[in-house]
Formats: sequence, structure tokens, C-alpha cells
Amino acid sequence: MVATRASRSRNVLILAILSSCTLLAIGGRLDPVRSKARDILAPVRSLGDRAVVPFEDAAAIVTGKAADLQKENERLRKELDDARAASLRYQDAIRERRELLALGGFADPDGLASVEARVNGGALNNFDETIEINRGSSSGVTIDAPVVTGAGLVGRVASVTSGTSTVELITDPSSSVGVRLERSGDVGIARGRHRGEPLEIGLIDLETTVRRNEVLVTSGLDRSRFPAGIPVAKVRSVRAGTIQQEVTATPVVDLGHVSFVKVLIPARTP
Amino acid sequence: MTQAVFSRGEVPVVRIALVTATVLVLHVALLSHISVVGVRPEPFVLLAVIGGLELGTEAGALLGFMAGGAADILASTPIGLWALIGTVLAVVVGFVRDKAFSTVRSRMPVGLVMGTTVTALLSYCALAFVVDEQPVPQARRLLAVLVIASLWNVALTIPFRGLVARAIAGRAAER
Repeated sequence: MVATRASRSRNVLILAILSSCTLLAIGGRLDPVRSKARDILAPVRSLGDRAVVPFEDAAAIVTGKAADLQKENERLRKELDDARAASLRYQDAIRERRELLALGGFADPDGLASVEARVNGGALNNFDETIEINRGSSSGVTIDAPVVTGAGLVGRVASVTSGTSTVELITDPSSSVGVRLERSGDVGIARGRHRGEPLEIGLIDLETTVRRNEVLVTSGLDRSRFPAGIPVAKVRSVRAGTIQQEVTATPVVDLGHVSFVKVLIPARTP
Repeated sequence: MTQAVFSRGEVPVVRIALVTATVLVLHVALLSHISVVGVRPEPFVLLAVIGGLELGTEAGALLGFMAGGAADILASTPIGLWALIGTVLAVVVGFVRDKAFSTVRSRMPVGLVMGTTVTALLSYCALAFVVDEQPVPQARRLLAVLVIASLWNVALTIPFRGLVARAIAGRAAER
């Protein structure tokens, strides 16, 4: 009896391990199953989000964060007013930029079709830097589509179901974005580390002058998935390395507090 | 608390699936929203550990496999990764429970829950790097995840244990 139970346990273990390895080997073929399961769970997630909001608000009041948020709100309103005024002053420059982008064959991010989406929630595990949005393939969202807010780049669409999409943030360790320094025009690669950590900017020449708070925008080079000119980050620190400068940058978008985003829909090639 | 024994043909597959589905819904609706410095609980790892401790190696392996499969649905790594880790974890814990803790009837070793959580998360990082070329997390982030997720799992042990014991082990003949 003991021997029978032991051999049955061994058989179950072998079967379970073989099944796991088979699942791993099949890999991508099971993605539709995962998409379907996530579609089914999406309403649960939305409900959970709504249920949790009052508790998060209460916690903010208790911890004093509500007062901080109010100050932050006032500061942002002032920044918005300043930005509106600057926008009016630079209309001519914007028009000229569009014309130059078109001449160079670059897509104008302001001219692309887009879909607005609400953020359903963050990652469901501890190792992904992602957010889930409430638009999917039924709204025209495709994999690798850039995701932005009014402030700048958020990330790219990593997976799509019919009603939702998962967006890989630029702070994800797997993320890499081609960027260009606004002043010098030198190009580099922005790589994520984690949401709390600044981006690492690689491939910046030792001779390039890099200033703190200088803006990095998407370079749009070499068939990049991101159109040129989308603000990505601001330089935080610069240090001369051995063969290149060691630059870190803070994303311009507050990725921990994004509520609404725009998914850029690439133009179909004829 | 006596360890559950299932007589031949009585591995409660349906109950194990229902418990796994319940934890999945609970995680998506609630647990994923609570975090400390951005670190959330790892309920599927905890489920695999409790499965090994409460149900033995056979039923525990099935619970570990299903719990891992549920975690795979929510992760971005290939399906099967967490299923493999959950299965092995449940069986190892069941084996350790039989050999080393047979005299412990009513306590859930805190060190065991923390140790298995850390082991599972490190295994996931290693396998994700090998199988899917996922970058290994930064050291500071990884340390925060290992410590805080383990503490979360210790905090959730009692309710999860109650769930597994009542929903699954309750049908079994007790020894």
C-alpha cells in the first residue's frame, strides 16, 4: 500500500513536470488561451479597481498624502497655463517642424491616428513594469503601438486581447527606446531598470555636451517603432565613462499616476 | 491538524481547480492592488506551499501545477514556467513535511513559507532569464521583492491555509 502510494505520487510528479515542460515548449501557441483568460478577468479587475479607490483615498488622507496631492495639483495647473501660453507662441515653429518631418519621411506623432484609453491597473506580478488599458484589437490597437500621454512617452503595447491591452512601460528592464538629445541632436538608447529607478541612456559620445534637465525625445531612426519627437525623459545625471558618457534620465511622464493614455495607430502602408 | 490522506481515486481535482480559480479572482480583484513599495503578495507560490504541506505530494503537486498555471496567465513569460516551479515546490515541500516536520501538527513554519517564497521567486528569475531572455531584475529591486513578498505570504498563510484545508482536505479521510 505504501509502495503503491509512493509510486503513484512519483507518477503524478513526473506527469506534472512533463506537462509543464510541454507547455513551455508549445510556448506562443497558447497565447490565445492567455488572451482569452485575461479578457474574462478584465471586468473583475475593473470592479476591483473601483472598489479599492475609496480605501486608497482614505489612506491618502490618513497618511497626509492628500494635502501633498492638492499642492501638486496647484503646481500642475500653473504649469498647464504656462504650457498653453508657450504653445500659442510656438505655433509657427510647430507648423515648420511638421513640414520638415514630412520632407524627411518621418511620421509626425501629432498627426497620427490615436485611440484614447483608460488605465485599468498596473502589473499583476512583481517583475513586470506594465499597465493594462481598456482598449484592445477591437479598437484598432496593435502590438508595438506607441502609447503616450500629453506629457510624453509611456511605453509600447506588448500584448493585445479583443478588449484590453498590456502596455510595457519605458521603465521595464526589457524596454529600449531610441532617443535624441534635444540640444546636440546626439542619439542614444534609453533602457529601463525599474519604475523607481531613472532610465539608463547608452551610446552617448564622450565629446557630446549633455546638460542636466536636457530633454530627450524619440529619435525615430532606423525603422523605430516610435515616431520621432515624442518627449521621453529629462537628464538627471551625467558622468564620463571609459568609452561613453554614463547618463541617467527621469521619465517626463509620472508613470505611477497615469490614468488616461493615447495609443498611436500606425498608418497602414499601401 | 492532521495531514490529509486521499484514498485511491479521491484526489479532488475539481475542488483543487475551484480553489485555484478562487485565488486567481481574489488576486486580480484585490491582492494585486495592495503593495508595499510596489511589491505585491505572491498568492500562487503560497498556494503551492500550502498544497504540499496540507495535501501531501500527490494532490499538492496538482495544486502546485494549477496554481502555477494561474500565475502563468497573469505573467508575461511563457506559459508553463510558473506551472513547473509550482509543481516542484509543492512536491518538495510535501516531502520535507513528511520527513522533517512530521511531529508538527498545528503550526505552519514561518521560516518554511519565507524560504520557499524566496526560492520560488529566484527560480522564476533564473528560468525567465534562461528560457525567455528576460533581464534579471536590479539587485535592489530583487531584494525588496524577495523580502516583502515573503512577509506578505506569511501574513496570508492563515486564511489561505483555512481555504485549502476546508475546501480540499476536508473531504479526505483523516489519519
